[in-house]
Amino acid sequence: MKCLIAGMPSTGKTTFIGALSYLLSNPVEGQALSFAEIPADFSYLNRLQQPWLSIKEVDRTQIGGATNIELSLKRNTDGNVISVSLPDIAGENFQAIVQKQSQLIKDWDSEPDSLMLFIKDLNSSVFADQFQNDDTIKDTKLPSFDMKDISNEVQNVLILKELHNLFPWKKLAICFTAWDVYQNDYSNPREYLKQNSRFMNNFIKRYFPDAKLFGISAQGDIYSTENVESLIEKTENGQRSFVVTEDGIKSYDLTLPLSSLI
Amino acid sequence: MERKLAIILDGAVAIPYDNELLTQLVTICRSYKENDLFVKIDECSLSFITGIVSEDFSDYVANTLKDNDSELTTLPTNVIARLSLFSVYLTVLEESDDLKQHLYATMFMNAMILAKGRWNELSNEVVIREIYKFHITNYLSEHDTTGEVLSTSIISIIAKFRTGNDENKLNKLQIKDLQTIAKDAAYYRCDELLKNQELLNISNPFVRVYSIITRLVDSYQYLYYNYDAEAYIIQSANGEKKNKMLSNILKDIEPLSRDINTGTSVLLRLINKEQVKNSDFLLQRKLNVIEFGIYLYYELLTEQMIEKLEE
Amino acid sequence: MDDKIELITGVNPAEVPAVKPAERADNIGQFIGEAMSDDQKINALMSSSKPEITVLVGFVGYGKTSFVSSFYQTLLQKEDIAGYAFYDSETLVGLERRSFLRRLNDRNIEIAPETKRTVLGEPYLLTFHLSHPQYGDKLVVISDHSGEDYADYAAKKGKIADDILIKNADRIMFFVDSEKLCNEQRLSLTTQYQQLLRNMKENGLFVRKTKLQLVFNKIDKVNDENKFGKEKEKLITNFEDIINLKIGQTFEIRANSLKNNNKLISLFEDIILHTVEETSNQPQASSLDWVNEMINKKK
Repeated sequence: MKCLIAGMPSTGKTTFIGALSYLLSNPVEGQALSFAEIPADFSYLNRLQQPWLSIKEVDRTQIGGATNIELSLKRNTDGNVISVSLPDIAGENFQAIVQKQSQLIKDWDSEPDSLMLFIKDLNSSVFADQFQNDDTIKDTKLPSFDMKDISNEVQNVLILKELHNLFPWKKLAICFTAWDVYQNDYSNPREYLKQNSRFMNNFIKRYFPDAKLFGISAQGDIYSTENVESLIEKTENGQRSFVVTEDGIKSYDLTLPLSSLI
Repeated sequence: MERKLAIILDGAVAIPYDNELLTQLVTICRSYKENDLFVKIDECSLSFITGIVSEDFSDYVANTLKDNDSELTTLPTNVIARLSLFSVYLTVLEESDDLKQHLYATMFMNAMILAKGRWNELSNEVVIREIYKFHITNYLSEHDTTGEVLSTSIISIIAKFRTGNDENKLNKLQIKDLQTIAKDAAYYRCDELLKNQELLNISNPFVRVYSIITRLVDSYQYLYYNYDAEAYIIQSANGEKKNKMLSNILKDIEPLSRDINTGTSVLLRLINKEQVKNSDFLLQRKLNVIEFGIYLYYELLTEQMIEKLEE
Repeated sequence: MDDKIELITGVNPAEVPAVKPAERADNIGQFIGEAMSDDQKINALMSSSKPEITVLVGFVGYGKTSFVSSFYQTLLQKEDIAGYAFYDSETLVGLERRSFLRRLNDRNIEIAPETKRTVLGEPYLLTFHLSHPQYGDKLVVISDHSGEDYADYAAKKGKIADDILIKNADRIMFFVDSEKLCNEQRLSLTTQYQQLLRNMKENGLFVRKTKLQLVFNKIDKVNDENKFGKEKEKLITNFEDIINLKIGQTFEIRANSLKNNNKLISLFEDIILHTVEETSNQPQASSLDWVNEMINKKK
């Protein structure tokens, strides 16, 4: 199974892969997927895992490349072994789709069966007063319309549309990351989507009615010096990264989104 | 035909197509499945009436336009739906064989059951009614020239036949009389069927009409008499004015259903539990007994006629 | 599909650079989902029914872009307008650009006003895919040519002949700057409109059953209501005399504000619900029901 993990820069894709790789080796109780076979060369996954284990922000994925991660996974309910291929592609490459500069994506010759789209902070509203700090602008050049002037929701919709044109995948999972920040305000990811982006909700309901929505926190919490120890303890107890499903059920099984696409 | 197509497309496209594109589309509609017109009529009728267009047809249109280096290759679904209507219209109007022409039109009209309760969703009422002029009843009334004979001696002649010798002595006029008698006999058999107590005792009017109509059409030794089908159906209904949801009618007749050739018919496909596009809406519609009988009758008749043609 | 692939074909190598300065300061054409500029492409838009075309006519600064931006923002923010929910557009970036221009205007940044407008020849077709749970889908297309384009149409006789879309529009909304109508710029406004209307009429634009409406924008800037009332009536009469037709409806709005703006919302509802009206050409229940016709004949 080929799963394309997509999302704009800093939406947590790499953190997720790092956390996922740890949990596949150290499954929590009732976890849907685990390693059927540990990859022979774990060095790339180690690099992704390290910052997560060290409770540090992950380095940005190298722009311009796609490292393919091949995993042999076991579905724990029936023991079925599934090969999963996950390319790790920098968010800028996906954002570049909107700017008609996505040669890497266009040239990617794999045909994914499914897409996992990572979205962070949907509520960067188009109506926010972006010129708040520009009161003093006078007689200067007109600001150019730029990527930052396109709302997060529109950028994500455009990415979805173009990716689907390029690779007509059959299954879609949308992961709203940094869910630790939202968990007290929204009971489930559908509610979050409806309240923060009616348009995107309508778009997804229309074209991808079977899409699964998840709230994800791979980090487990915002990193600060105060919570390092607590996060380490939670990692050891398998209660750090968590997922919230569309039904509002919280689980420490970070493999759920991937499992929903199999 | 370009003019007719422009009329059919009026209100479907934002910017009217130019003549060059219209001409291309006429050719495309004409050439689509031109070697299998019954299948074409079935497909295009359902596409237009349900609005769920045939992928085969959409792809054919797009690919042919592309091959012709047309600027416009992707046509919206509402346009494809109207092109489907045009394809039916074209096929009916341009068919030289009278019987086939009327069969195509009747197939289209049978499929109109899918529009029940949503007539106003269909465009091009005028064009549709042009197709209606070719219903099979018009063919039958025109071609069934077997007349009535008030008195004839043919009965006594045949009664006196000794086999082996006398049949060849019939002249043309006597053969004509014989044909009339044969028709009388056929009508008599229909009348007798309609008096069949076992069938008349079926209490469920829809089951009763279904049983009678299926047996009736099965009994036709000659399909092209201008039977007064409506009268038979009204008689079978026996004054029943009940309306029932089609899904429930189908449940009622399910125990009686049998393999029927359903190549072209909506109701028969549903009876056979086959998939029919956009039938959910239809299944919730109510039909009265006579309506149900008429749709059923003409579907059965059309299927039989097509089967005979293809033999 | 080919158009879409074309849209995302990059011209740069695999390395993704920062956004390059484009030849035009406003980076038109740099993104996918820009507004469209080829009228014929409307015929290729996927829709289950004919696109409903509304053309916004008006000169520089009359508020057409603000209006479109408000329409877009309302669709994004509200659950639906008149039951129709917004679910897609081929021109999302075109709409985002107009929102951007509107925000610049709102902030009243001290930049030459004419630079904060859509410019001559800029892509102008914007699409809105809407869906109603009962009535199904609808594709609304709004043509938002720049004011300079209309100044061109007014000044050059044959120019409007190239505009296929306006000839096939379902609705034409003539925007009027109500503030100008009441001040010393009134003559300039009316003269320019007279020229434009005459050219439109000469090019056969008023023969179809197109809905014609006047939108008096910037109504919040009108100080003298009596004066406005008189000038409004004069303008309507002027219009009707030239085009020899009755103007349908008139609206008085403030296009650039969504706060407490029911009149604007009503106009949006009108665009969605009443651009293409059900005509009496729709079949009556009985005329296609051949079975009941047969039964009735038998009776």
